[in-house]
Amino acid sequence: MKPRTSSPIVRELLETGRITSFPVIDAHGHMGTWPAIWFPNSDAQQMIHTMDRCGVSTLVFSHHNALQDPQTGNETAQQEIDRFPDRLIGYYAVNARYPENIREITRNFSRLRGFAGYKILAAYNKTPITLPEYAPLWAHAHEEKRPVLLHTWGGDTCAGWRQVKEIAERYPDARILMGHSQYGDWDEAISLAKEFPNVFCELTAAGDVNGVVQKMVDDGIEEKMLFGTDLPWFDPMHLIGVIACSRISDAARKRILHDNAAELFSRWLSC
Amino acid sequence: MANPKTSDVSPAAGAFARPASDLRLFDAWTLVGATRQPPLQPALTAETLLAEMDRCGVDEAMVSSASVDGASPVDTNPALSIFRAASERLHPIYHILPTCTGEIVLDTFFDDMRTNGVRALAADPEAHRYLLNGLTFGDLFEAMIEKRVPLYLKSDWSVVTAVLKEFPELIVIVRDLGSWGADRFCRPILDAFPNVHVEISTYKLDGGVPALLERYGPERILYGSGYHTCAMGGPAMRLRNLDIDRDAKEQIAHGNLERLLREARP
Repeated sequence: MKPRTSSPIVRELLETGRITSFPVIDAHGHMGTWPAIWFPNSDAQQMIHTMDRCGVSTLVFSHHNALQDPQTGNETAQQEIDRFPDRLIGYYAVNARYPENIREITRNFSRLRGFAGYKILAAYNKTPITLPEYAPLWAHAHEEKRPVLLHTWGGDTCAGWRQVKEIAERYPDARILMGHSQYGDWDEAISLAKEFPNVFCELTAAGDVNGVVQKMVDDGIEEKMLFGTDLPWFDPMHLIGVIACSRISDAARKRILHDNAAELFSRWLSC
Repeated sequence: MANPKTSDVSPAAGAFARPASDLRLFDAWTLVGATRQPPLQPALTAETLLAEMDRCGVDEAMVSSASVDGASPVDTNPALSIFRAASERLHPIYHILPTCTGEIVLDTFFDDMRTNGVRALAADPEAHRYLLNGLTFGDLFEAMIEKRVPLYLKSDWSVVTAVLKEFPELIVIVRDLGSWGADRFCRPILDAFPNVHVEISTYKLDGGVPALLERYGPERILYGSGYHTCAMGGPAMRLRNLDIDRDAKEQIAHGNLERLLREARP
């Protein structure tokens, strides 16, 4: 049976298979293979096919290889951004274990094409985002108001809510995207997004938890929520469906799926 | 700033399989009831579950007790009768226990299942502390094979493999495959054991279901949501808008589960 809803957005989804009144922007993606998973659709062309199917116009991503090897992995990402400049925006992945790479890229970021900001997989690298090795990155992001996507998870001591709070206070113009919204530490994530204008909740995996999307909207952070999928991990239609069927307004749905990211990435969407 | 326009998204929607807005959905895995650490929006009543199903366009649902993490199936199984009584759209799943303690007596257990419209069972060896093997469950599993009653197992792949090696004829539904792509685990099992089915609530892998479909056909894939832990709307919309043909979608959405329940004779 059809869902009982009066939402024009849900009707669009049901009738056309995707949202047609505005393009969806995915603020959290990757690309390429990953050791622990077999991906059917992990190259750029396949991912863009998925984006087309789901009405996603733009993906902001870091290449999986760059999370392991920043030097060569980010170069691969650059090649794919150059192939699809109107569909892909990059996060330059960094790791404090390679501090020279961080110093070099923060000095020469302008040589990159289509990169908005940075990605830190702090918990995996076991490098707290507060380490001095990351300071040049935060200073650069602060100075140029650039986004930094963090992998954040409840209880994490590398990019948990305490570390994010410290960075948000120290670098108020850096745009801090809490990937996975401090999964499990929902109240802390929401508090940070409310307290700091530069902190955002990104919904990959987090949004799948029953009630999280509604709680965030009810708690007043709909302008700080971002749609994300970890593509090529998750079919975008999954989280689109969660957002569509959550007890929130169409205005909030559009904010999460498009408006917030369109504002955050406006400088790069025009590339 | 130049926001991307809808026209920038190509190819057109017509290039993909038509969405199945009117798809009949029979959810193979939902949870209800109180737990020690409840989810944000727990479903404690049939009314809550049914309202969510209406909102997400889900016709019927298999209902398992979430309370089994801290309560005995001796108590949680009968408690599910409230859900069956509330609506014919809801179909209870009982949890099993070993017969050696007398907590389950085979004849009366199946009588009870028939009386209460129960046509599927689930096992939680971790919560209920038993070994899921022939030594402990040989009598029950032999009866389940004869009666074609499906057994839900969590995706603890070592346990699933061991059970199937001992009871290859057992009809198994592996639930909650996990969001970390399960193909390296589940494919060898699907290859070896034709009575195994997978419930895809948390199998969100992009392109995963079409790839399973290509290798195994649609008959062994079951739509499920994992509600009330997981949001119900995601898996339903994902399946409706998957780029696969309508017949396969119908089988995954409801046909396969209906067949399994029809064939079960507790």
